[in-house]
Amino acid sequence: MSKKIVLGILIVVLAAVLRLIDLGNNPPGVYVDEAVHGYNAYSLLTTGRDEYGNPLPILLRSFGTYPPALYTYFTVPVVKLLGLNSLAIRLPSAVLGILLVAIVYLWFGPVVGLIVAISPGFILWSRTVSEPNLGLTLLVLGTFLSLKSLPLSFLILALSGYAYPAQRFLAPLTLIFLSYHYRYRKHWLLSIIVATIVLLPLVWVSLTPGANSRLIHLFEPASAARLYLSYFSPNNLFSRPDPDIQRSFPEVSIFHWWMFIPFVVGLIKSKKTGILKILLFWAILAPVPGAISGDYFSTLRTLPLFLVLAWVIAKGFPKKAIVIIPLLVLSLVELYSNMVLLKHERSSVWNYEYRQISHFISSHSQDQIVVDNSRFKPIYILWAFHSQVSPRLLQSRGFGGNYYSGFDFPDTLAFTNLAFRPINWREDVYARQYLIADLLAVSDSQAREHFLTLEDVITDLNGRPVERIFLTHPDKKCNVPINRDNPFCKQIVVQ
Amino acid sequence: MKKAKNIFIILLFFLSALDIDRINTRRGYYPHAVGRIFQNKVTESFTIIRKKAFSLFYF
Repeated sequence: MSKKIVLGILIVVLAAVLRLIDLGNNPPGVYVDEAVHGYNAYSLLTTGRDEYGNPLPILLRSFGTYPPALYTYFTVPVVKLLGLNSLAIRLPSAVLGILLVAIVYLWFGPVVGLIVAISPGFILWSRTVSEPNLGLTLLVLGTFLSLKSLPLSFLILALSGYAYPAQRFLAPLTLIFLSYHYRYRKHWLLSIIVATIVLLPLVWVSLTPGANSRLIHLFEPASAARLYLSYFSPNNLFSRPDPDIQRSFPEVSIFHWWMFIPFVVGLIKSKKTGILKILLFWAILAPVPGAISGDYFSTLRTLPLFLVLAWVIAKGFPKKAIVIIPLLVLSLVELYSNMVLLKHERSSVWNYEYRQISHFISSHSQDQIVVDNSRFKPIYILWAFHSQVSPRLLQSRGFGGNYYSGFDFPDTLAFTNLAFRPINWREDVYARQYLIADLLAVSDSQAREHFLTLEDVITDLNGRPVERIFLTHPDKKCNVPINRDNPFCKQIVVQ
Repeated sequence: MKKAKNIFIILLFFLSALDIDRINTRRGYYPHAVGRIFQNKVTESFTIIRKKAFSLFYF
C-alpha cells in the first residue's frame, strides 16, 4: 500500500473518531431543529407523511420556518435501523462530515484534509443535525466529480440546492460557473438538462411564501457590508466562537488559534501562486447569505467559505512531521477539553432537560398537564421526539390550505390531556393539573400564592434546576374567601 | 533585567483577570486528575492572552 493511501486512511479514521465518539450524548440533549428532522423522518417512515400529514415535502413546515427536508430523507433509513434517538438522527451528518474529509483529501491533498478533520467548526457541524453540512458536502462532492463525470456532478450540485436555504443561492451559481467553465466538455448539454430537471421543483417551491419566510424575516441589507467583512475577521475565525452558543464549542472558533500563523503565510503564498477559480468564487459569494441575514458572524450560513480558508491555511502549513505532530497533539487535547466543556456548559442550550420532561409526561398519561412555552414555542416537537408520539396524533392538526403558505405558528398546541401554551393564571390554577415551567415562568411567590406544590425539579447535566413541575390545588385556591365567587370555583363545587 | 520585570508585570496583569471560581467549577467537569491539567491558572491565563491578542485582529 502506498504512503499516500495510508496517510489518507489515517486522516479519515481521525476524522471519524472525532465525529463519532459519544455522538448520541455530546452535544447532550436534542436541539429543536434536530428533533424536527428526526421526528419527521420517523413520521415519513411510519406513515409516508410528515408531521402535518403532507406526503413527501420539499420543505418541512416545522414552526413556519420551512427548513429543507433533504436531511430528513437521509435520516429515514437510519431511524429505521437504529430507532428514533439522538445517535440515529446525527449519524447521517457525521458520515457526511467524514465523507467531506475524504473528498477534500482526494481533491486538495492531505494537509487540507487534516485541517478539515481537526478544525472545531467542521467537527461540531458534523456532530449535530446540520443541513448546511449536508449542503457543503454535496456542493464539494458535486464540484469534485465535475473532474470525472459532468452529468453526475451536475445532478449532485442541483441536489445540494435542496439541502439548505443558503445553498439555493450558491448551488445554481456554482452550476452556472461550471457550465461556462466546461462549455466544450462532452455531455455538457445533457448535464445542464439533468440539473434543470432536478432544480425545477425547487424553483417552484422557492416561489411560495413559506420558502421565503426566513429570508423575509431576516433580510437586513443595511448592515450587509459590515457583516460581510466579519466573516474574514481573524478574531472570529481563530479565537471568538460563533455568537450563537448552539453553533460553537465553548472558547474556540471555527479553526484552532495556532492556524492563524499558517493562514497568514498561506495568504502570502496564494498571492504568488494563485487560487483555484472555483475556490475564489465560493470565497467571494459564500458570505453573502450570512451578510444579508442581519446576524453577526452566522457561521452556518457561510460554510463553503471555511473550506476555502482551510485550503489557504494548508498553503502556509509547514509540511514537516516535527511541526505537524505537536500541533496535532495540542489540537486533539484542546478538542477533548472543549467536548467536555460543551457537554457540561451547554446542556440546557441543547434541551437536555426535555428528555426528562417527556418521560414525566409519558408516565402521567391519565393526568392533565400544561407545559409552559412562553419563551420557547416549538417545544412540542421535543416531546414528540423523545416520547415517539404517534405521527397520526400530530397529523390530526392538518395544515389547512396550501402547505407552503402558512408561516404563523400558534401559541397553543393542545391534545386530550396535554397542552403546550403559556400558563393562564386566571384559569389554570382552578383545575387539577400539572404545570411544567422554567424558573422564570413560575416564581416561588406565585407558587405560594396559588397553592402549587412542587412535585419534581428537572435539572441540567450539572444538577442545576432548570424546569419545575408543580401540581395545582384548586380546592385550596377556592377555599380563599376572595375566590369563592370565581366562576371556576363554582364549577369545582358542581363537580 | 528590565525585560524580565516587564514580563512579570504583564503576567501579573493577566493573572489578576483570572476567574478562580470558574476554574474550580470547570475542573469538576473532568475526571479528577485530568481536570487539574485542563483547568488551572496557566491554561486560563493563556486563554485570556489569546483572546486579548486576537482582539487586535478584529473587524
